[in-house]
Amino acid sequence: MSSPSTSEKIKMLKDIVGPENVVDSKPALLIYARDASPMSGKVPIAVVRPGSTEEVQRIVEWANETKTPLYPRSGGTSLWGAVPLVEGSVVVDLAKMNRLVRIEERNLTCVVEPSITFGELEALLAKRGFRIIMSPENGMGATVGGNFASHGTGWGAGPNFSNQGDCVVGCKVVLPTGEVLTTGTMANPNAHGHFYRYAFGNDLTGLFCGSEGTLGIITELALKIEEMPGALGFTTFGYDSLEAVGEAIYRVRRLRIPTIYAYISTGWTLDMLFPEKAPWQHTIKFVVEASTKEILDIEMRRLMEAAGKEGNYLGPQMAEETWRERYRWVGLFGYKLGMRAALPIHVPIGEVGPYLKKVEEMAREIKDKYGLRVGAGGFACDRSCVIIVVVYFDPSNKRETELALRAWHEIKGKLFDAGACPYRMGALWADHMPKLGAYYDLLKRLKKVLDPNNIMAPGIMGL
Amino acid sequence: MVILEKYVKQIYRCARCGWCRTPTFADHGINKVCPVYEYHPKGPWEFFTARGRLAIAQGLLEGEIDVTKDLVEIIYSCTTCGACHEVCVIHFPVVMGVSKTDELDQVRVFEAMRAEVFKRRPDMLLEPHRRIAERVATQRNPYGEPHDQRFEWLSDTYRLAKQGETVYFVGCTSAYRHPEIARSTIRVLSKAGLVPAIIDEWCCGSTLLRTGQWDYVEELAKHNLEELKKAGARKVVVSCAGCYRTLKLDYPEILGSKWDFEILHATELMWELIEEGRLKIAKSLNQKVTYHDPCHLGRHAGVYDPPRDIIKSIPGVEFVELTPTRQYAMCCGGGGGVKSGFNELALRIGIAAVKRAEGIGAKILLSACPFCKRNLVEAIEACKAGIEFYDITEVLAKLV
Ligand SMILES: Cc1cc2nc3c(=O)[nH]c(=O)nc-3n(C[C@H](O)[C@H](O)[C@H](O)COP(=O)(O)OP(=O)(O)OC[C@H]3O[C@@H](n4cnc5c(N)ncnc54)[C@H](O)[C@@H]3O)c2cc1C
Repeated sequence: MSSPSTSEKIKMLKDIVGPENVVDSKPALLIYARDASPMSGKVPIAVVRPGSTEEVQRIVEWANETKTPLYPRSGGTSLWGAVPLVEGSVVVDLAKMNRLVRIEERNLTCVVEPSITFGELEALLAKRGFRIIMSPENGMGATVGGNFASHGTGWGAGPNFSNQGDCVVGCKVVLPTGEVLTTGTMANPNAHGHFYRYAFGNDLTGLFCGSEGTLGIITELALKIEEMPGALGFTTFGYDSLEAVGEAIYRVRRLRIPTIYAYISTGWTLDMLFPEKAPWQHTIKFVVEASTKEILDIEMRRLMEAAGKEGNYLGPQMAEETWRERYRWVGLFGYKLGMRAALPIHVPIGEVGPYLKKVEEMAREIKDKYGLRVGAGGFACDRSCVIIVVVYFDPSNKRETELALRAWHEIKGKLFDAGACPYRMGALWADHMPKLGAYYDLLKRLKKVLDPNNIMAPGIMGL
Repeated sequence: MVILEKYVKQIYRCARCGWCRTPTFADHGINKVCPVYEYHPKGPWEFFTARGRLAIAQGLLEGEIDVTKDLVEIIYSCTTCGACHEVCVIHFPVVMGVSKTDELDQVRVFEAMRAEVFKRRPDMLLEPHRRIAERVATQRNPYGEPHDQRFEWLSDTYRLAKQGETVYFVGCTSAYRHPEIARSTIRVLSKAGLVPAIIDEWCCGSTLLRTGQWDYVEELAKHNLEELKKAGARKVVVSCAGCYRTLKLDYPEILGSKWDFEILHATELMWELIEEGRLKIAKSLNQKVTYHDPCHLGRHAGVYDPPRDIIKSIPGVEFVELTPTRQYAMCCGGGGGVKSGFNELALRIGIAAVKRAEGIGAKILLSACPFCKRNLVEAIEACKAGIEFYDITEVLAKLV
């Protein structure tokens, strides 16, 4: 079959999902070529908005027939260039698939469609006395599907959980060739819902965790849910050196103090954000969760000792306030100083100090070389710590934007060479994928087998 | 590209974090922000949200897109309610009290986009909006009603002076479509012994400002200025939230320091009179009542408390807040040229607002704007809701 023209393709799409669910006018498409990073992609030929797994399936089948690249999009809030990278693509906007499908109370799981935001899901679960385990700082705009598909992490990270993937027990995916796959217990159609991930051989849920749309479109996820925490404790410490920060993070983790939030703000970043109160120490804000008040008291005592060894006690207020505003305070760190080009990476939990020192050095270099401000913060996970390096710039200034992009890529290269591990690759890290050798080769082979026409998110992750 | 260039810094400031799309501030009962994204007959599309519109603004600035019918439809399908501004991530530092910023005023940018588009392709303007401008030019009101009948509703009971320190600026919608609001305003003020003067007012220009047709507004503003000066006015009372925003916020920009009057919304003045003991609410109202914040009065101009204070001071009233409310309140759907340009959209948003009010068990929905009244009354009829709508002035007029 000869390849259909763009207008024929759009007509075909409209036949699948109805004309009201397809847009193809240039102004309507612009936002779909952008995520929340400074990278922009190629404007797609259309955006299609399915409302069900069946519609997604038909779109994927159509894409194979017409060899049209598809880019799934949920919240569109990625910071790493999750944008269409080839001409002639169609963005699959999952906005309508945003329901809490059901709560499987006896399994302590819930089933959601991919585009439900964390904020909304939390509010719905709270009505039934439940909560999810992990959510990103951007819980307002970020969706569960997009977070799982991009190895999200955030509030809730600590000794037990490090990644949204840890909180997902199964999912439903439309594969790149159009078949529908259910992973976890529900692969057995007789199973009593979603309650265990590692059944029936390989962990196929894991195949889609962090796959960034390259291996299919996730249409449902089963997430672990928990009762509301029995007790939360808050405290903040200040430190004179980055080494001391690193040691405190390591010690608290090693002692398995049940933190669900241990957030580092570097002193020089705080100096930039709140110059009126400079000079700042480096701070770590801790939030601890326990099942009862009594246990919390014990854990808080342990925390005070472990974190306070080289630290200066700053009281509970900062941590408590940040926790209360956990989906909003990112406005401060993120955007008070302009637009930001962010680089989140994982480093070993025991090496936080040395990495932060490297970042501090890079920040100085960038300031000298480009005159741009670079901030850094991070939070502890299970055996790693996420460090977020941020280049601030004025996006309305073309020259400054160019320089910021240059600085961004420069820092990226240095961090990778220093052994840091990026975890969401998008377009941003695609150029570093070949450095992964056999790992990258296998990803490419898997992609080829599962997606012979390479219709799913071509170019993302260098695939 | 002169108009939009003034807003370059703001337009590029968008972080695209998505808070204007689907944020949930559970603590404020918010799970919806953009009424157009939520209720557009075409369903939720990103280009209806602030970040989508700002991407379009960038496209216009960079010459990436032309003015087409689709573009016009998108940029005019916005009630310019400003809810996106309230939840915007870059304003959060303000909420935290650590920074003051007007770095991104979404409403101004969206209005400027319209002005830009109109400047480049006046022929592409939506027909209802073009007609509005035509009517304002000929009859000084957007409804095309004869200018000399602007005060027809004014019965003989009230002989209003043409001179006075306090002038009541009636506004076109009250004058021609909801005279009951104008009559009630005068009745309530008179009860407090304050008989306002009226002037030969012309349309304040709000509808033109909101639809990108800026050129003619200066002439309207100048006329109103001259008339107010002639009347010896110091205080101007308005019962329309649209006029209020225009007189309070837009005229000073257009006319500069020459515009030197105290602008009061009727609810502000009435609450002042109640507090001073000059206005007594004699009768009671034994009903469950809620209040819809008009966007132009609340979010745009910061008037939240006087209407509530009045309602709460009515004997017998059980006042319940809508959720979301105050700065996060959902728009009624009638503003920003949407009522005239896209009535179906306006009604859908209006119906959602009415259902929210019904959902909290309110029997009376109050507001303080004839525009809100128009849309919400139609919405009540369309969905056959068991709730009544009144402007606060109407209720007060019956109770004082
Ligand atoms: C201010 C700010 C703060 C942030 N803080 C955090 C944080 O603390 N932690 C964190 O993890 N992230 C953070 N992020 C990044 C981002 O918001 C989240 O990771 C978010 O969960 C991504 O979800 P999304 O719905 O926006 O995904 P999208 O950007 O829509 O998609 C992400 C990727 O997944 C793919 N994808 C989306 N949906 C599907 C699907 N259904 N099936 C298959 N593939 C799909 C997309 O193609 C894309 O490659 C932050 C972003 C901002 C702007």
